[in-house]
Amino acid sequence: MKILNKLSFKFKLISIILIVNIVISSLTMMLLHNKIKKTIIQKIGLRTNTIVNIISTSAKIEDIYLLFSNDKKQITQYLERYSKEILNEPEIEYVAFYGKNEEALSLVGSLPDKKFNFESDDINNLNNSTYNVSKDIFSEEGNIIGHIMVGFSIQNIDSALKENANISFKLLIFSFLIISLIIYVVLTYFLKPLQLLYQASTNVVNKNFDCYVPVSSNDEIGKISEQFNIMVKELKSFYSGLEKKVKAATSELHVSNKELQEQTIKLMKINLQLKEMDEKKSEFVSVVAHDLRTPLTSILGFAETIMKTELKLTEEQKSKYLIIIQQESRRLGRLISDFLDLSKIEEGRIHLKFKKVNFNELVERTVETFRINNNKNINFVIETDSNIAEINLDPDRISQVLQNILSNAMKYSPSNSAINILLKQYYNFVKISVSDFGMGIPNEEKEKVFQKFYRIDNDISRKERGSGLGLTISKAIIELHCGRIWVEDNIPNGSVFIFTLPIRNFDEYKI
Amino acid sequence: MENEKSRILVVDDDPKIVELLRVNLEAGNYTVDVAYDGESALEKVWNQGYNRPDLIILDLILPKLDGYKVAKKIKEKKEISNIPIIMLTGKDKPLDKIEGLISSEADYYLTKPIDISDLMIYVIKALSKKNNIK
Repeated sequence: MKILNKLSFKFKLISIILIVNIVISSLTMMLLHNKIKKTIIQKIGLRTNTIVNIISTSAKIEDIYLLFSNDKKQITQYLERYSKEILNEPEIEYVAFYGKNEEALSLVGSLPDKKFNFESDDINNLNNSTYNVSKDIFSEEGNIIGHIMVGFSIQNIDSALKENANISFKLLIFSFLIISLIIYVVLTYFLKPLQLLYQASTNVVNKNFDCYVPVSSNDEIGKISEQFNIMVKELKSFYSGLEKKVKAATSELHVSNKELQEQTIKLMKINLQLKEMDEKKSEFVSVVAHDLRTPLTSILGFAETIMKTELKLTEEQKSKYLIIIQQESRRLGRLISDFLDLSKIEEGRIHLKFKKVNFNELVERTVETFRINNNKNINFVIETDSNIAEINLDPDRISQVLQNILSNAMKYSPSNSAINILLKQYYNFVKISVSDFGMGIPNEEKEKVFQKFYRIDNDISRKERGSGLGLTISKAIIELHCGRIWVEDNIPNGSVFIFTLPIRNFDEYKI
Repeated sequence: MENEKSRILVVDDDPKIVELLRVNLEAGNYTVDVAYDGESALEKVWNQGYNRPDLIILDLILPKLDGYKVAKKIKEKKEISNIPIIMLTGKDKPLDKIEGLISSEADYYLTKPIDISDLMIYVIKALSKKNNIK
């Protein structure tokens, strides 16, 4: 069954037609053959009977029988001569004459073995290849005077019939071939649309909808082709619609996926920042606590020391310790205000009080306080443009920035060196730079000095340490003024802190 | 007292703290040595031979070499590992304390600010501990 299923439709059709053809043809041939055989044999029967009749009724035979009725030898002689003449006919096998009393008179030719019953064989029921015909010989008066037997060979007829059948069979085979060929050609022609349909549907399966099956006829196949074309068209529009939808959905998905990723990255960043902030905060708290503890230790310790009467401190020592208490208290105050400033800045709660200020004067006054409190004998040199404009700024905060920069510069300056302060006016801003001759700041640290608690070197002893927040606060203040602050190298050594302030007319600026 | 005076090394980078401790310790009849950074503190302990301190009061945040490292180095050397160390610092986080006491093997960990009289009690305690070991 499986093999049968694999065969093509065309092959199956041809096979079925051929098989049916063969069966019908064979049956027909067999029937025909028998019919022909019968007809021929009957014709032969008629003919042979006629021949024997002619012989038996011929005057010559009668004469022989009657003339020599007494001389049997003579009769036999004549009959044998006559029989030999008859035997010249190829189909006659033998001729036998018998007398009135069924005695043999002349037996010529190859006689059969069996005994004669003086009756003709049934032509339709022949057992062997010889057909025996028997006739009585009558006198003129109508009396039976003898018998005649003639054997006809029907072997030739048989072979002729066989040959005939053979030729018929060959013809049949030939006709089969012709029929097969015709069927093949016709089927190929009729099945061509089916083949095209097959190819087209293969294309459709491969999602190639640009196929059209030509409709060449108006029969069932033509109708199917037409329907197929319509179906493919529908499929095409449906599929492209589907594809579009899928594409749209996919791209949407893609977009949302991307968005999700971005969101995740953002969240991760925020989380990281929060973590960092948290770490920084706890670090800040611990640093603040530590920095506050140090002056507090001195204050409490010296207060306790002064109060201890058993130490027997001199007045000089006591006043020295009181000065330390005072200094450390001040330092504590500064630290606290720095911490407060920083937390205000970080929370965005700092309020600047803008005023129109003579910048030159502001710088001059700030530097003056450092000149007075100058234990390193540092020479402060101010260089300024002659006409610096009045600037809108918060004078306390800008002075604080300048103080931070100057105290740093002083901290790192060697004794008896100079600190140069340079003021310059540009088109829409002023620039102030403070140069010292200290150890300078390496390039990789230049950004970091503005970070919280950054200290350039641990070698600076703690008595000179500030909060580590001065520059951080300064940077925030300058940026709130829309200015910029940075540090450069001083040549040949030391560093230059520079900041700019824009010259603008804004009356009240609040953040 | 027939005993010679106990020698105490005060290590702190803040001269005011050093002064504060020195005055009070001297009043308590101790000899006081001072160092303002980690390296010179180590040098004083290691190189002074017969003048080695009997006790070290050590700050943690120091220039050049921090207090943890100083304590660790002292406790690593057999000859000086028996010198008791009082850490006196502003760092009060539990982790700092653990590092000071366990990793650096300091004997006491005190946080600033501290009562001078409290500190004196710890000094006596630490010194007597050292003498007992002897």
